Amino acid sequence: MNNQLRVLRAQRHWSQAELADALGVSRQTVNAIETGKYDPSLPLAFKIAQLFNAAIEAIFISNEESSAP
Amino acid sequence: MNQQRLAARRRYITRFIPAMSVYAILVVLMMPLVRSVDPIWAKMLLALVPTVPVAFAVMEIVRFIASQDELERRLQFEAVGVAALLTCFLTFAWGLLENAGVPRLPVVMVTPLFCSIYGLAVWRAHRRFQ
Repeated sequence: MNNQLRVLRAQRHWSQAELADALGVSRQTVNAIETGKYDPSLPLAFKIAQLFNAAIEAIFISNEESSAP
Repeated sequence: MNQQRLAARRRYITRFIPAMSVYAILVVLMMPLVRSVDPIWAKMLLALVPTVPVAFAVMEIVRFIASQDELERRLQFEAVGVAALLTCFLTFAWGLLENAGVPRLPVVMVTPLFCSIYGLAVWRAHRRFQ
């Protein structure tokens, strides 16, 4: 799954540690999500969406969707 | 690291390390005592004394894992699975070797074996997500 987390975080000038604190997760988890190594659970995805005031589908894009013609 | 996570980590360190230190001291103290007392029930009771701080340490491990986030818990779960499977495999293979005359493996060695593999598996799992 691809995501816009790094872009959204950069727009707000937040560090990974600051975002991790806001979400109540570790910096490693934020990094793993940003690099696409880990797909968050639905509750965490909702929390991320609420934090950035965006829809989940605007942040997380499935690989099928992003590779569609 | 947010305050809640920091407090959980601090609590774990300040409780786990003393508990395991007490365990190490009790093992050393109890060994000669176990040999010196006579009734079997007294031997068993004294032999089990070091398990009290270990039980406390186990509770702290469980509490610490519960305080971790979803990725960390997943890594712990994977590491426990790998450690359990490898420990089963190695002790089973050793059991078969005992038929070939290899010295018997004391049951008390299973826990250190499991913990060693678990530690390596956690380290390897964390590296994957760095």
